[in-house]
Amino acid sequence: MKKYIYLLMILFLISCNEKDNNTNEDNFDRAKMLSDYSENYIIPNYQSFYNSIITLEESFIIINNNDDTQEIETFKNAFIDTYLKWQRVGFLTYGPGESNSLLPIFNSFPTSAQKIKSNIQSGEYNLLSAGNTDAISLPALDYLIFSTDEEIIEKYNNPNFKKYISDLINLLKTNTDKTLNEWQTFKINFSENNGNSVGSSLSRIVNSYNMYWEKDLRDGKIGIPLGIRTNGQPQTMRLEGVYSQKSLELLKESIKAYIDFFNNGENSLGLYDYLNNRRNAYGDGTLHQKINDNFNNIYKRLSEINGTLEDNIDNNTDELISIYQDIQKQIIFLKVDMPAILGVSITYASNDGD
Amino acid sequence: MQAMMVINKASNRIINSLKKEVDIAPLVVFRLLFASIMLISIIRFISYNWIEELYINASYHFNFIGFEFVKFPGELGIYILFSILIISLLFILFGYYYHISMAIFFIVFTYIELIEKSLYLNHYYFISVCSFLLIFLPLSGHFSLDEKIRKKSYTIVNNWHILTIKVLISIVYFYAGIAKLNYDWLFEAMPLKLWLPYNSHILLVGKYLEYEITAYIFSWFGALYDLTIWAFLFWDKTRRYAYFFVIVFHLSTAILFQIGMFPYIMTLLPLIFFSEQIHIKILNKIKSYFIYATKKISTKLPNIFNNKIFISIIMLFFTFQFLFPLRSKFYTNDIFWTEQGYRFSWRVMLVEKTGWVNYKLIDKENNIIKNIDPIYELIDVQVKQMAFQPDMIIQYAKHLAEIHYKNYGTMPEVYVNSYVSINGSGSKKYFKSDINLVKADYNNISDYLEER
Repeated sequence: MKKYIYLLMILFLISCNEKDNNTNEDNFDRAKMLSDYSENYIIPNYQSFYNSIITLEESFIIINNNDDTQEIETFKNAFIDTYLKWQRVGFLTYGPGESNSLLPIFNSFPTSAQKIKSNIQSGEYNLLSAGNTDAISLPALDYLIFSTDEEIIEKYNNPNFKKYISDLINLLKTNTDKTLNEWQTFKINFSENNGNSVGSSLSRIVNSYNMYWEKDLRDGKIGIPLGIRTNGQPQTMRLEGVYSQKSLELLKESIKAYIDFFNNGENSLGLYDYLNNRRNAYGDGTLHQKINDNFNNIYKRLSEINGTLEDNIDNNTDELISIYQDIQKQIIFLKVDMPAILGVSITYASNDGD
Repeated sequence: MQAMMVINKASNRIINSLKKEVDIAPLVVFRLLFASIMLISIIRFISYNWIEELYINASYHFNFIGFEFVKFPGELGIYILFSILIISLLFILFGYYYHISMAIFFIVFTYIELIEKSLYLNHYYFISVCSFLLIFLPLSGHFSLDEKIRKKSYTIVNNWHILTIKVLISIVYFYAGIAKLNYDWLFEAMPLKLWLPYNSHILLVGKYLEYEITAYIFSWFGALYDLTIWAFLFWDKTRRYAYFFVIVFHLSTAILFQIGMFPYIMTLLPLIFFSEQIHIKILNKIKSYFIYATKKISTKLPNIFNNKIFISIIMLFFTFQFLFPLRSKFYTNDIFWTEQGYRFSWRVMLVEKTGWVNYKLIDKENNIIKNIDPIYELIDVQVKQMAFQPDMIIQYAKHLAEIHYKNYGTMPEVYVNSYVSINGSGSKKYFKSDINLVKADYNNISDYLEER
């Protein structure tokens, strides 16, 4: 009996050693992928989001100090830039991004014009109170800067309005700064946590990537405005960036961010490379290629749309529903196929399997 | 005539061997192990905050078909049920009102498992089944408070009392082995080929887990292990080596997979296969740590433990245990696809299956069409589990229809858009999209599914 066991063990070791010589490329360095993510996507994108907030702040200070309304265009453009940069980090809902609640604080829309106005009028508000989630941050600035509402058209002459805008910018700045700084230390922990179980960095990435795609992107940015929840009745007031009329650009930017994150550049490792490293035959192709193809298809179709998303919801509904379905199709690749191949469980709760 | 005599002789021998009087030690040790490991499991479950995350946070619960009367008892209720589990386990550990405590444990544990289908695990089912059997066995005959109260020790039991537990463990292994005898497992080394490389970060052995050959070795070894280990545990000559493999096997599953307490339970419980001498030694060792005076009179086991009704219940129980795991054979040729007969049949760690499902609800009378994504109502464990299990997909469709009926007074049609992936082979359309699931019959699941 014992002899057989020894014999088996020796055979096993020999077979492993033989393999060792020629299949080294089988090993995928997950820790490197994670550090590539923090170094080459997460931190740089938080940094450029932060920079755009600083530019926004500076252009507002000019308006504020000099009553120089000529600068309003610059300020408007700075805000659009900030909102676009946000799209690149919005779905990073883990680590410091999660603990600082960036997604719920920064981008809860539709915003409530009523609450914003009453906050400004009373001058007494706690921006972070639960009741104010729909009166702050990017959607509130979108309203304040671009609304044609008569009550706020003269906003740059009213100190209360200016204070509110400045408080909102400050909120963005403080939380982003904090998140960015925390990532500088969190990144070590992030790449060390390189398993695949619930709570591992890979699991957090894949889960956030999916959850944001379903809830915030598919439903929030296109589905709900299209009327999927309201029996086909369009809800254009629920569009992201509805006042600046930039909903389409914001949606396109977030798709682009998803593509960039998936591939994570030429020289660093990303989900694309990880899938590429696994056996992932899918029909007549491979999963990583299917995912990229559909991403690019969605982006291309959105790029071919003329006019604003709002106009298209009313006049080009069928095309948008068809794009919505392509976005939905991506969920199957990202949520059904990718986790199976990467061994990640789509869950945040760490219960047992069997 | 001669043939009859041979058969008679053989059956007499079997009956005599079943009735053979043996020491109670293996049963007592089993009681201590069972109660301790279950106490640890339950306390672990509570300390991970799973009562809240998995039961209380869910606003809808997936019943088991046929057990719809089992309702979630509310926040206070579920805590009370878990408290009863702990108390009954303490009673079992000390052998105090053992039989009634074991009966209570069985009922409450099973009730909790029946509340939520998405949390089904084979090892929970094993605990239910095992605790049912244990109700009828004299586990508190000795080294127990029951013994102290009645001032009588039952130190001698019949061989069959111990045998039942061994047979139950053997059934679990054997059927788990049979389940592995499928093409994917043996010839594709799936799902291990997918699962093992995830562990490449483990020290020393990690990189070997990346090799395909390792997946094949593990698959074949696993199948062989499950099919035969029980026989080697029964046999005196091989038992020590077999138990060594039990430890290696379950410890490696504990390291490689997220399967909680199961590996530890299945490492400890098969100790019952060891001889009565070894158990007597273990028990004496345990006794030496306690002030345990053996002043009681040792008497024969009361007749109730060999009572005809008892024995009939246990025989029925085993008939069920032998037949029930086979039921899938009557339903389907492709159990990974339809899942009919998948649960309660020891199909453990057998397939990597993931899914996605969205619903479309149509109420023609009120002119309502709604797309419904279950992520908004269900907790993520439920979403994940229901997405690849056809009965749960149907169940949720019916639930959506009921809610709509309550709000609008009309019964809507509910259609489903669903995809699953089996062993990472690329997602395929699951349910046919043109079937109204509101009136679906759980027995005809394969009619509603696309071809695999």
